[in-house]
Amino acid sequence: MNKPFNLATALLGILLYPASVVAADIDWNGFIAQGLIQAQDSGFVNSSGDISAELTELGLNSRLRLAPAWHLSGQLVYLDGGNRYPSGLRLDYLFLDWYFYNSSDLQANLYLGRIKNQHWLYSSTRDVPFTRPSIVLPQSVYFDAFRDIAVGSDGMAVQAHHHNNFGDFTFNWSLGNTPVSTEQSELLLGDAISGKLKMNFDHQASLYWQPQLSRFSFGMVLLDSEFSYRAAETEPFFAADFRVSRVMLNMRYQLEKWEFSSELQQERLQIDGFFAPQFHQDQLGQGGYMMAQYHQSARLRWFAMLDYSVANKDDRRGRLLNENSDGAVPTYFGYQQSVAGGFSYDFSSSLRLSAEIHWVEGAGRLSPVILPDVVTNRHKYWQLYAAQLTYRF
Amino acid sequence: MRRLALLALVLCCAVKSATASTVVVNNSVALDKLTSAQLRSIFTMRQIQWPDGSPIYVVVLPDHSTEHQRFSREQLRLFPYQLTNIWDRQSFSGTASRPWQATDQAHMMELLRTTPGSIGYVEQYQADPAVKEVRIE
Repeated sequence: MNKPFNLATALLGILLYPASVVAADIDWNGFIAQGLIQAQDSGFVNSSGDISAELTELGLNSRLRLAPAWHLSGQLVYLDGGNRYPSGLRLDYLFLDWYFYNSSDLQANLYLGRIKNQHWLYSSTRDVPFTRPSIVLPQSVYFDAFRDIAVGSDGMAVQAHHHNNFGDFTFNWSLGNTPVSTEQSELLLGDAISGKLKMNFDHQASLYWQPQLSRFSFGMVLLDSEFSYRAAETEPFFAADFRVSRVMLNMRYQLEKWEFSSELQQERLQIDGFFAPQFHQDQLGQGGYMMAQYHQSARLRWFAMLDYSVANKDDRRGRLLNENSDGAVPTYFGYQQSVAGGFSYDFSSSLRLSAEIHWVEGAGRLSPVILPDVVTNRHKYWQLYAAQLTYRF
Repeated sequence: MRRLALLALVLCCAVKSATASTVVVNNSVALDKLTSAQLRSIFTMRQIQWPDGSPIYVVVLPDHSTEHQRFSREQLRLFPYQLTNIWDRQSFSGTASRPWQATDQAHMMELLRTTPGSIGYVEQYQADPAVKEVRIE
Protein backbone atom coordinates (compact mmCIF):
# COMPACT_ATOMS: atom_id res chain seq x y z
CA MET A 1 0.00 0.00 0.00
CA ASN A 2 3.02 2.29 0.05
CA LYS A 3 3.31 2.98 -3.67
CA PRO A 4 0.36 5.27 -3.96
CA PHE A 5 1.54 8.06 -6.19
CA ASN A 6 1.02 6.66 -9.67
CA LEU A 7 -2.35 5.26 -8.68
CA ALA A 8 -3.18 8.39 -6.71
CA THR A 9 -2.48 10.57 -9.71
CA ALA A 10 -4.78 8.41 -11.80
CA LEU A 11 -7.46 8.62 -9.13
CA LEU A 12 -7.28 12.38 -8.86
CA GLY A 13 -7.24 12.73 -12.64
CA ILE A 14 -10.34 10.61 -13.04
CA LEU A 15 -12.19 12.05 -10.09
CA LEU A 16 -11.25 15.71 -10.50
CA TYR A 17 -11.96 16.10 -14.20
CA PRO A 18 -15.62 15.24 -14.16
CA ALA A 19 -16.25 17.38 -11.08
CA SER A 20 -16.78 20.47 -13.16
CA VAL A 21 -18.85 18.58 -15.71
CA VAL A 22 -21.23 16.53 -13.59
CA ALA A 23 -21.12 18.19 -10.20
CA ALA A 24 -24.41 16.62 -9.18
CA ASP A 25 -23.07 13.09 -9.62
CA ILE A 26 -19.89 13.42 -7.64
CA ASP A 27 -19.64 13.27 -3.89
CA TRP A 28 -16.71 14.51 -1.78
CA ASN A 29 -15.83 13.86 1.85
CA GLY A 30 -12.78 14.38 3.98
CA PHE A 31 -11.39 14.51 7.47
CA ILE A 32 -8.44 15.98 9.36
CA ALA A 33 -7.54 14.56 12.76
CA GLN A 34 -4.64 15.40 15.02
CA GLY A 35 -4.01 14.17 18.51
CA LEU A 36 -1.54 13.56 21.27
CA ILE A 37 -0.74 10.05 22.42
CA GLN A 38 1.47 8.52 25.05
CA ALA A 39 2.16 4.86 25.74
CA GLN A 40 4.27 4.86 28.88
CA ASP A 41 6.50 1.83 29.43
CA SER A 42 5.96 0.33 25.99
CA GLY A 43 6.99 0.82 22.37
CA PHE A 44 3.40 0.94 21.13
CA VAL A 45 3.84 4.51 19.81
CA ASN A 46 7.56 5.27 20.21
CA SER A 47 10.64 3.90 21.91
CA SER A 48 10.87 6.62 24.56
CA GLY A 49 7.34 6.40 25.95
CA ASP A 50 7.10 10.21 25.78
CA ILE A 51 4.04 12.20 24.69
CA SER A 52 3.87 12.18 20.91
CA ALA A 53 1.95 13.99 18.19
CA GLU A 54 2.13 10.85 16.04
CA LEU A 55 -1.63 10.59 15.92
CA THR A 56 -2.38 12.17 12.58
CA GLU A 57 -5.08 10.98 10.17
CA LEU A 58 -6.05 12.85 7.01
CA GLY A 59 -8.37 11.59 4.33
CA LEU A 60 -10.03 12.75 1.15
CA ASN A 61 -12.46 10.62 -0.78
CA SER A 62 -14.76 10.85 -3.73
CA ARG A 63 -17.49 8.77 -5.32
CA LEU A 64 -18.41 9.38 -8.91
CA ARG A 65 -21.52 8.08 -10.63
CA LEU A 66 -20.51 6.84 -14.09
CA ALA A 67 -23.94 5.36 -14.89
CA PRO A 68 -26.95 4.49 -12.74
CA ALA A 69 -25.40 1.13 -11.79
CA TRP A 70 -21.71 2.06 -12.05
CA HIS A 71 -19.65 4.13 -9.61
CA LEU A 72 -15.97 4.86 -9.12
CA SER A 73 -14.82 5.40 -5.52
CA GLY A 74 -11.42 6.38 -4.20
CA GLN A 75 -9.79 7.64 -1.04
CA LEU A 76 -6.33 8.96 -0.22
CA VAL A 77 -5.20 8.94 3.39
CA TYR A 78 -2.16 10.21 5.20
CA LEU A 79 -1.46 8.42 8.48
CA ASP A 80 1.14 8.88 11.16
CA GLY A 81 0.78 6.49 14.08
CA GLY A 82 4.38 6.18 15.24
CA ASN A 83 5.33 2.52 15.69
CA ARG A 84 1.73 1.39 15.20
CA TYR A 85 1.87 1.22 11.39
CA PRO A 86 4.00 2.64 8.55
CA SER A 87 3.47 6.40 8.23
CA GLY A 88 2.84 8.20 4.96
CA LEU A 89 0.39 8.77 2.15
CA ARG A 90 -1.63 5.81 0.92
CA LEU A 91 -4.17 5.06 -1.72
CA ASP A 92 -6.67 3.62 0.72
CA TYR A 93 -9.13 2.39 -1.89
CA LEU A 94 -9.92 2.84 -5.56
CA PHE A 95 -12.55 0.57 -7.04
CA LEU A 96 -15.28 0.21 -9.59
CA ASP A 97 -18.65 -0.50 -8.02
CA TRP A 98 -21.20 -2.34 -10.16
CA TYR A 99 -24.67 -2.50 -8.65
CA PHE A 100 -25.58 -5.64 -10.57
CA TYR A 101 -28.79 -6.81 -8.93
CA ASN A 102 -31.70 -4.66 -7.82
CA SER A 103 -35.03 -5.93 -6.54
CA SER A 104 -37.32 -5.03 -3.68
CA ASP A 105 -35.76 -7.59 -1.33
CA LEU A 106 -32.26 -8.22 -2.74
CA GLN A 107 -29.53 -5.81 -3.77
CA ALA A 108 -26.02 -6.84 -4.78
CA ASN A 109 -22.77 -5.06 -5.71
CA LEU A 110 -19.52 -6.19 -7.27
CA TYR A 111 -16.37 -4.22 -6.39
CA LEU A 112 -13.20 -4.38 -8.51
CA GLY A 113 -9.88 -2.72 -7.70
CA ARG A 114 -8.35 -1.78 -4.38
CA ILE A 115 -11.21 -2.68 -2.08
CA LYS A 116 -11.88 -2.16 1.61
CA ASN A 117 -12.30 -4.93 4.14
CA GLN A 118 -16.07 -4.85 4.74
CA HIS A 119 -16.11 -7.97 6.90
CA TRP A 120 -15.45 -6.84 10.47
CA LEU A 121 -17.53 -4.40 12.49
CA TYR A 122 -15.13 -1.45 12.11
CA SER A 123 -12.67 -2.67 9.46
CA SER A 124 -13.89 -0.60 6.51
CA THR A 125 -13.38 2.74 8.25
CA ARG A 126 -10.85 1.99 10.98
CA ASP A 127 -8.85 5.12 10.00
CA VAL A 128 -11.85 7.45 10.02
CA PRO A 129 -11.99 8.85 13.55
CA PHE A 130 -15.73 9.58 13.86
CA THR A 131 -16.78 6.17 12.54
CA ARG A 132 -14.94 4.13 15.17
CA PRO A 133 -15.83 3.88 18.84
CA SER A 134 -12.35 4.61 20.23
CA ILE A 135 -9.13 6.29 19.06
CA VAL A 136 -7.21 3.02 19.45
CA LEU A 137 -9.36 0.08 18.46
CA PRO A 138 -9.23 -3.19 20.44
CA GLN A 139 -5.94 -4.78 19.47
CA SER A 140 -7.21 -8.34 19.84
CA VAL A 141 -9.10 -7.90 16.57
CA TYR A 142 -7.77 -4.64 15.04
CA PHE A 143 -4.06 -5.32 15.59
CA ASP A 144 -2.35 -2.14 14.35
CA ALA A 145 0.76 -3.99 13.12
CA PHE A 146 -1.52 -5.75 10.61
CA ARG A 147 -3.38 -2.53 9.69
CA ASP A 148 -2.08 -2.19 6.13
CA ILE A 149 -2.71 -5.86 5.42
CA ALA A 150 -6.13 -6.06 7.07
CA VAL A 151 -7.61 -2.80 5.84
CA GLY A 152 -8.24 -3.99 2.29
CA SER A 153 -6.71 -5.67 -0.71
CA ASP A 154 -6.30 -5.50 -4.47
CA GLY A 155 -8.89 -7.80 -5.97
CA MET A 156 -12.63 -8.21 -6.04
CA ALA A 157 -15.54 -8.34 -3.60
CA VAL A 158 -19.25 -9.00 -3.63
CA GLN A 159 -21.77 -7.58 -1.19
CA ALA A 160 -25.44 -8.60 -1.09
CA HIS A 161 -28.32 -7.42 1.11
CA HIS A 162 -31.49 -9.41 1.51
CA HIS A 163 -34.52 -9.09 3.75
CA ASN A 164 -37.32 -11.51 4.43
CA ASN A 165 -39.58 -12.45 7.34
CA PHE A 166 -36.55 -13.52 9.37
CA GLY A 167 -34.87 -10.12 9.13
CA ASP A 168 -32.05 -8.40 7.24
CA PHE A 169 -29.08 -10.35 5.90
CA THR A 170 -25.80 -9.01 4.52
CA PHE A 171 -23.31 -11.30 2.80
CA ASN A 172 -19.75 -10.23 1.91
CA TRP A 173 -17.10 -12.11 -0.03
CA SER A 174 -13.68 -10.89 -1.12
CA LEU A 175 -10.51 -12.24 -2.71
CA GLY A 176 -7.29 -10.34 -3.30
CA ASN A 177 -3.82 -9.60 -2.05
CA THR A 178 -2.01 -6.63 -0.56
CA PRO A 179 1.41 -5.30 -1.47
CA VAL A 180 3.61 -5.54 1.64
CA SER A 181 6.05 -2.65 2.11
CA THR A 182 9.48 -2.99 3.72
CA GLU A 183 8.25 -1.05 6.78
CA GLN A 184 5.25 -3.35 7.06
CA SER A 185 7.50 -6.43 6.79
CA GLU A 186 9.70 -5.10 9.60
CA LEU A 187 6.64 -4.41 11.76
CA LEU A 188 5.59 -8.02 11.41
CA LEU A 189 8.91 -9.86 11.35
CA GLY A 190 11.39 -7.48 13.00
CA ASP A 191 13.93 -4.96 11.73
CA ALA A 192 16.71 -7.59 11.50
CA ILE A 193 15.26 -8.96 8.25
CA SER A 194 16.55 -7.98 4.84
CA GLY A 195 14.45 -10.30 2.64
CA LYS A 196 11.08 -9.68 1.01
CA LEU A 197 7.65 -10.57 2.41
CA LYS A 198 4.80 -11.05 -0.04
CA MET A 199 1.11 -11.72 0.49
CA ASN A 200 -0.10 -14.48 -1.83
CA PHE A 201 -3.81 -14.08 -1.15
CA ASP A 202 -6.43 -12.90 1.30
CA HIS A 203 -9.79 -14.64 1.12
CA GLN A 204 -12.69 -13.62 3.38
CA ALA A 205 -16.41 -14.20 3.68
CA SER A 206 -18.88 -12.88 6.23
CA LEU A 207 -22.57 -13.06 6.98
CA TYR A 208 -24.55 -10.62 9.10
CA TRP A 209 -28.08 -11.11 10.37
CA GLN A 210 -30.38 -8.64 12.07
CA PRO A 211 -33.59 -10.41 13.13
CA GLN A 212 -36.83 -8.66 12.18
CA LEU A 213 -37.50 -5.66 14.43
CA SER A 214 -34.66 -6.68 16.71
CA ARG A 215 -32.04 -4.46 18.29
CA PHE A 216 -29.54 -7.33 18.02
CA SER A 217 -27.34 -8.13 15.05
CA PHE A 218 -25.02 -11.10 14.69
CA GLY A 219 -22.14 -11.78 12.34
CA MET A 220 -19.69 -14.48 11.38
CA VAL A 221 -16.43 -13.99 9.46
CA LEU A 222 -14.05 -16.51 7.90
CA LEU A 223 -10.58 -15.47 6.79
CA ASP A 224 -7.74 -17.32 5.10
CA SER A 225 -4.50 -15.68 3.98
CA GLU A 226 -1.04 -16.77 2.95
CA PHE A 227 2.33 -15.02 2.88
CA SER A 228 5.72 -16.09 1.60
CA TYR A 229 9.12 -14.79 2.64
CA ARG A 230 12.09 -14.74 0.31
CA ALA A 231 15.22 -14.49 2.42
CA ALA A 232 18.27 -12.47 1.41
CA GLU A 233 21.56 -14.34 1.18
CA THR A 234 23.22 -12.32 3.91
CA GLU A 235 20.65 -12.67 6.68
CA PRO A 236 20.32 -15.33 9.38
CA PHE A 237 16.72 -16.18 8.38
CA PHE A 238 15.35 -18.58 5.78
CA ALA A 239 12.67 -18.69 3.12
CA ALA A 240 9.28 -19.22 4.75
CA ASP A 241 5.55 -19.63 4.28
CA PHE A 242 3.09 -18.09 6.73
CA ARG A 243 -0.59 -18.98 6.75
CA VAL A 244 -3.12 -17.07 8.86
CA SER A 245 -6.70 -18.33 9.19
CA ARG A 246 -9.35 -16.69 11.34
CA VAL A 247 -12.87 -17.43 12.50
CA MET A 248 -14.72 -14.49 14.02
CA LEU A 249 -18.09 -14.06 15.66
CA ASN A 250 -19.58 -10.71 16.46
CA MET A 251 -22.64 -9.27 18.12
CA ARG A 252 -24.15 -5.84 18.47
CA TYR A 253 -27.07 -4.66 20.59
CA GLN A 254 -28.21 -1.10 20.02
CA LEU A 255 -30.62 0.86 22.19
CA GLU A 256 -31.45 4.53 22.21
CA LYS A 257 -28.82 5.41 24.82
CA TRP A 258 -26.77 2.22 25.07
CA GLU A 259 -24.81 0.26 22.53
CA PHE A 260 -23.01 -3.02 23.22
CA SER A 261 -20.67 -4.71 20.77
CA SER A 262 -18.32 -7.66 20.86
CA GLU A 263 -16.08 -9.50 18.41
CA LEU A 264 -14.38 -12.80 19.20
CA GLN A 265 -11.70 -14.39 17.08
CA GLN A 266 -9.68 -17.57 16.89
CA GLU A 267 -6.63 -17.34 14.67
CA ARG A 268 -4.44 -20.15 13.41
CA LEU A 269 -0.87 -19.20 12.55
CA GLN A 270 1.23 -21.71 10.64
CA ILE A 271 4.92 -21.01 10.01
CA ASP A 272 7.12 -23.17 7.78
CA GLY A 273 10.75 -22.07 7.66
CA PHE A 274 12.09 -18.63 8.64
CA PHE A 275 13.98 -19.60 11.84
CA ALA A 276 15.39 -22.77 10.19
CA PRO A 277 14.61 -24.53 6.88
CA GLN A 278 12.74 -27.35 8.66
CA PHE A 279 11.08 -25.17 11.30
CA HIS A 280 7.34 -25.73 11.65
CA GLN A 281 4.90 -24.06 14.01
CA ASP A 282 1.13 -24.45 14.11
CA GLN A 283 -0.68 -22.62 16.90
CA LEU A 284 -4.09 -21.23 17.69
CA GLY A 285 -4.44 -17.78 19.18
CA GLN A 286 -7.63 -16.35 20.61
CA GLY A 287 -8.96 -12.95 21.45
CA GLY A 288 -11.91 -10.67 21.65
CA TYR A 289 -13.37 -7.57 23.19
CA MET A 290 -16.56 -6.34 24.77
CA MET A 291 -17.49 -2.70 24.50
CA ALA A 292 -20.28 -0.64 26.01
CA GLN A 293 -21.13 2.82 24.71
CA TYR A 294 -23.45 5.28 26.39
CA HIS A 295 -24.91 8.16 24.40
CA GLN A 296 -25.48 10.63 27.21
CA SER A 297 -26.73 13.21 24.72
CA ALA A 298 -26.62 13.79 20.98
CA ARG A 299 -23.17 15.33 21.52
CA LEU A 300 -21.59 13.34 24.34
CA ARG A 301 -20.75 9.63 24.23
CA TRP A 302 -18.87 7.49 26.75
CA PHE A 303 -17.33 4.07 26.26
CA ALA A 304 -15.77 1.29 28.32
CA MET A 305 -13.97 -1.72 26.89
CA LEU A 306 -12.37 -5.00 27.91
CA ASP A 307 -9.91 -6.51 25.45
CA TYR A 308 -8.06 -9.82 25.62
CA SER A 309 -5.77 -11.75 23.30
CA VAL A 310 -3.41 -14.65 23.57
CA ALA A 311 -0.94 -15.79 20.89
CA ASN A 312 -1.23 -19.48 21.78
CA LYS A 313 -4.37 -20.76 23.46
CA ASP A 314 -2.36 -23.63 24.98
CA ASP A 315 0.07 -21.17 26.55
CA ARG A 316 -2.16 -18.43 27.95
CA ARG A 317 0.46 -17.02 30.33
CA GLY A 318 3.45 -17.31 27.96
CA ARG A 319 5.42 -19.93 29.93
CA LEU A 320 6.14 -22.09 26.85
CA LEU A 321 7.15 -19.00 24.88
CA ASN A 322 9.63 -18.13 27.60
CA GLU A 323 11.01 -21.69 27.83
CA ASN A 324 11.30 -22.16 24.08
CA SER A 325 13.32 -18.95 23.77
CA ASP A 326 15.63 -20.02 26.62
CA GLY A 327 14.29 -17.17 28.70
CA ALA A 328 15.01 -14.48 26.08
CA VAL A 329 11.32 -13.62 25.56
CA PRO A 330 9.47 -12.77 28.80
CA THR A 331 6.22 -14.57 29.54
CA TYR A 332 4.13 -11.38 29.12
CA PHE A 333 4.79 -11.42 25.34
CA GLY A 334 2.41 -14.37 25.12
CA TYR A 335 -0.73 -12.36 25.84
CA GLN A 336 -2.21 -8.86 26.14
CA GLN A 337 -5.27 -7.74 28.07
CA SER A 338 -6.58 -4.29 28.78
CA VAL A 339 -9.32 -2.16 30.26
CA ALA A 340 -10.11 1.13 28.54
CA GLY A 341 -12.49 4.03 28.93
CA GLY A 342 -13.07 7.35 27.25
CA PHE A 343 -15.46 9.82 25.70
CA SER A 344 -16.17 11.82 22.57
CA TYR A 345 -17.81 15.21 22.41
CA ASP A 346 -19.21 16.80 19.25
CA PHE A 347 -18.85 20.59 19.28
CA SER A 348 -20.75 20.55 15.99
CA SER A 349 -21.60 18.03 13.31
CA SER A 350 -18.08 18.62 11.90
CA LEU A 351 -15.88 18.88 14.97
CA ARG A 352 -15.26 16.15 17.55
CA LEU A 353 -12.94 15.80 20.53
CA SER A 354 -12.13 12.30 21.78
CA ALA A 355 -10.02 11.17 24.73
CA GLU A 356 -9.32 7.81 26.34
CA ILE A 357 -7.12 5.80 28.69
CA HIS A 358 -6.07 2.16 28.38
CA TRP A 359 -4.56 0.12 31.22
CA VAL A 360 -2.69 -2.80 29.66
CA GLU A 361 -1.03 -5.97 30.88
CA GLY A 362 1.17 -7.88 28.45
CA ALA A 363 2.99 -7.19 25.19
CA GLY A 364 1.45 -9.81 22.91
CA ARG A 365 0.03 -7.16 20.56
CA LEU A 366 3.14 -5.02 20.27
CA SER A 367 5.12 -5.10 17.04
CA PRO A 368 7.16 -6.79 15.75
CA VAL A 369 5.23 -10.02 16.02
CA ILE A 370 7.62 -12.80 15.01
CA LEU A 371 10.80 -11.40 16.59
CA PRO A 372 9.59 -9.45 19.67
CA ASP A 373 11.33 -6.26 20.75
CA VAL A 374 12.25 -7.24 24.30
CA VAL A 375 14.53 -4.22 24.76
CA THR A 376 11.90 -1.50 24.29
CA ASN A 377 8.98 -3.42 25.76
CA ARG A 378 10.52 -4.10 29.16
CA HIS A 379 7.35 -3.68 31.19
CA LYS A 380 4.54 -6.12 31.82
CA TYR A 381 2.10 -3.32 32.71
CA TRP A 382 1.75 -0.13 30.70
CA GLN A 383 -0.75 2.64 30.06
CA LEU A 384 -1.93 4.43 26.97
CA TYR A 385 -3.35 7.97 26.95
CA ALA A 386 -4.75 9.58 23.82
CA ALA A 387 -6.72 12.69 22.86
CA GLN A 388 -7.68 13.65 19.34
CA LEU A 389 -9.49 16.50 17.61
CA THR A 390 -11.25 15.65 14.35
CA TYR A 391 -12.69 17.92 11.68
CA ARG A 392 -14.74 16.49 8.85
CA PHE A 393 -15.97 18.06 5.66
CA MET B 1 -66.26 10.60 31.71
CA ARG B 2 -66.95 8.83 28.43
CA ARG B 3 -66.91 12.24 26.66
CA LEU B 4 -63.57 13.06 28.22
CA ALA B 5 -62.10 9.76 27.04
CA LEU B 6 -63.44 10.37 23.53
CA LEU B 7 -61.96 13.88 23.53
CA ALA B 8 -58.59 12.49 24.66
CA LEU B 9 -58.71 9.90 21.86
CA VAL B 10 -59.54 12.55 19.24
CA LEU B 11 -56.77 14.82 20.52
CA CYS B 12 -54.34 11.94 20.53
CA CYS B 13 -55.17 11.05 16.92
CA ALA B 14 -54.97 14.70 15.90
CA VAL B 15 -51.51 15.06 17.46
CA LYS B 16 -50.38 11.82 15.80
CA SER B 17 -51.56 12.87 12.37
CA ALA B 18 -50.01 16.30 12.84
CA THR B 19 -46.57 14.90 13.63
CA ALA B 20 -46.37 11.66 11.64
CA SER B 21 -44.04 11.78 8.65
CA THR B 22 -45.37 11.29 5.16
CA VAL B 23 -43.04 9.68 2.64
CA VAL B 24 -43.06 11.70 -0.56
CA VAL B 25 -41.51 11.03 -3.98
CA ASN B 26 -41.13 13.00 -7.17
CA ASN B 27 -43.95 12.29 -9.63
CA SER B 28 -41.53 10.49 -11.96
CA VAL B 29 -41.38 7.54 -9.55
CA ALA B 30 -43.77 4.83 -10.73
CA LEU B 31 -44.63 3.53 -7.26
CA ASP B 32 -47.49 4.25 -4.86
CA LYS B 33 -46.47 2.03 -1.98
CA LEU B 34 -43.36 0.60 -0.33
CA THR B 35 -42.82 -1.90 2.46
CA SER B 36 -41.08 -0.78 5.65
CA ALA B 37 -38.12 -2.99 4.73
CA GLN B 38 -37.85 -1.37 1.28
CA LEU B 39 -38.03 2.08 2.83
CA ARG B 40 -35.18 1.13 5.18
CA SER B 41 -33.12 -0.24 2.27
CA ILE B 42 -33.58 3.03 0.40
CA PHE B 43 -32.79 5.35 3.32
CA THR B 44 -29.77 3.25 4.35
CA MET B 45 -28.55 3.72 0.75
CA ARG B 46 -28.50 -0.01 0.00
CA GLN B 47 -31.12 0.19 -2.72
CA ILE B 48 -29.99 2.93 -5.08
CA GLN B 49 -32.26 2.31 -8.07
CA TRP B 50 -36.00 2.26 -8.62
CA PRO B 51 -37.42 -0.90 -10.25
CA ASP B 52 -37.12 0.77 -13.71
CA GLY B 53 -33.36 1.22 -13.19
CA SER B 54 -33.41 4.98 -12.66
CA PRO B 55 -31.34 6.37 -9.77
CA ILE B 56 -32.87 7.05 -6.37
CA TYR B 57 -32.04 10.43 -4.81
CA VAL B 58 -32.61 10.33 -1.07
CA VAL B 59 -33.28 13.68 0.63
CA VAL B 60 -33.19 14.06 4.42
CA LEU B 61 -33.40 16.85 6.97
CA PRO B 62 -30.46 17.66 9.28
CA ASP B 63 -29.64 15.00 11.89
CA HIS B 64 -30.61 17.26 14.79
CA SER B 65 -34.04 18.20 13.43
CA THR B 66 -36.97 16.74 15.33
CA GLU B 67 -38.66 15.79 12.03
CA HIS B 68 -35.64 13.71 10.99
CA GLN B 69 -35.40 12.05 14.40
CA ARG B 70 -39.10 11.21 14.37
CA PHE B 71 -38.92 9.83 10.82
CA SER B 72 -35.87 7.72 11.68
CA ARG B 73 -37.49 6.21 14.78
CA GLU B 74 -41.05 5.77 13.54
CA GLN B 75 -40.69 4.94 9.85
CA LEU B 76 -37.25 3.33 9.65
CA ARG B 77 -37.22 1.92 13.18
CA LEU B 78 -33.63 3.07 13.55
CA PHE B 79 -32.23 5.43 16.14
CA PRO B 80 -30.85 8.54 14.44
CA TYR B 81 -27.28 7.75 15.53
CA GLN B 82 -27.56 4.33 13.83
CA LEU B 83 -28.58 5.95 10.57
CA THR B 84 -25.75 8.49 10.78
CA ASN B 85 -23.24 5.72 11.54
CA ILE B 86 -24.42 3.72 8.52
CA TRP B 87 -24.08 6.74 6.20
CA ASP B 88 -20.66 7.66 7.59
CA ARG B 89 -19.36 4.14 7.21
CA GLN B 90 -20.64 3.84 3.65
CA SER B 91 -19.47 7.24 2.47
CA PHE B 92 -15.98 6.81 3.95
CA SER B 93 -15.55 3.28 2.61
CA GLY B 94 -16.73 4.34 -0.85
CA THR B 95 -19.74 2.03 -1.02
CA ALA B 96 -22.45 4.71 -1.10
CA SER B 97 -22.96 8.44 -1.21
CA ARG B 98 -24.54 10.29 1.68
CA PRO B 99 -28.14 11.38 1.07
CA TRP B 100 -28.80 14.96 0.06
CA GLN B 101 -29.50 17.17 3.03
CA ALA B 102 -32.27 19.76 2.87
CA THR B 103 -32.09 22.68 5.27
CA ASP B 104 -35.78 22.56 6.21
CA GLN B 105 -39.11 21.17 5.04
CA ALA B 106 -39.62 23.90 2.41
CA HIS B 107 -36.20 23.11 0.93
CA MET B 108 -37.02 19.40 1.10
CA MET B 109 -40.21 19.97 -0.94
CA GLU B 110 -38.31 22.09 -3.46
CA LEU B 111 -35.71 19.33 -3.98
CA LEU B 112 -38.43 16.68 -4.29
CA ARG B 113 -40.36 18.80 -6.79
CA THR B 114 -37.37 19.45 -9.04
CA THR B 115 -35.46 16.15 -8.89
CA PRO B 116 -36.77 13.14 -10.81
CA GLY B 117 -36.29 9.94 -8.80
CA SER B 118 -36.12 11.74 -5.45
CA ILE B 119 -37.63 10.52 -2.18
CA GLY B 120 -37.98 12.32 1.14
CA TYR B 121 -40.41 12.92 3.96
CA VAL B 122 -42.48 15.79 5.28
CA GLU B 123 -44.78 16.44 8.16
CA GLN B 124 -48.10 18.11 7.41
CA TYR B 125 -47.99 17.16 3.75
CA GLN B 126 -49.91 19.42 1.40
CA ALA B 127 -50.82 18.10 -2.02
CA ASP B 128 -48.47 19.23 -4.76
CA PRO B 129 -48.76 18.33 -8.47
CA ALA B 130 -45.01 17.65 -8.82
CA VAL B 131 -44.79 15.16 -5.95
CA LYS B 132 -46.88 12.36 -4.52
CA GLU B 133 -47.34 10.53 -1.27
CA VAL B 134 -46.15 6.92 -0.97
CA ARG B 135 -48.01 4.53 1.29
CA ILE B 136 -45.85 2.46 3.67
CA GLU B 137 -47.10 -1.04 4.37
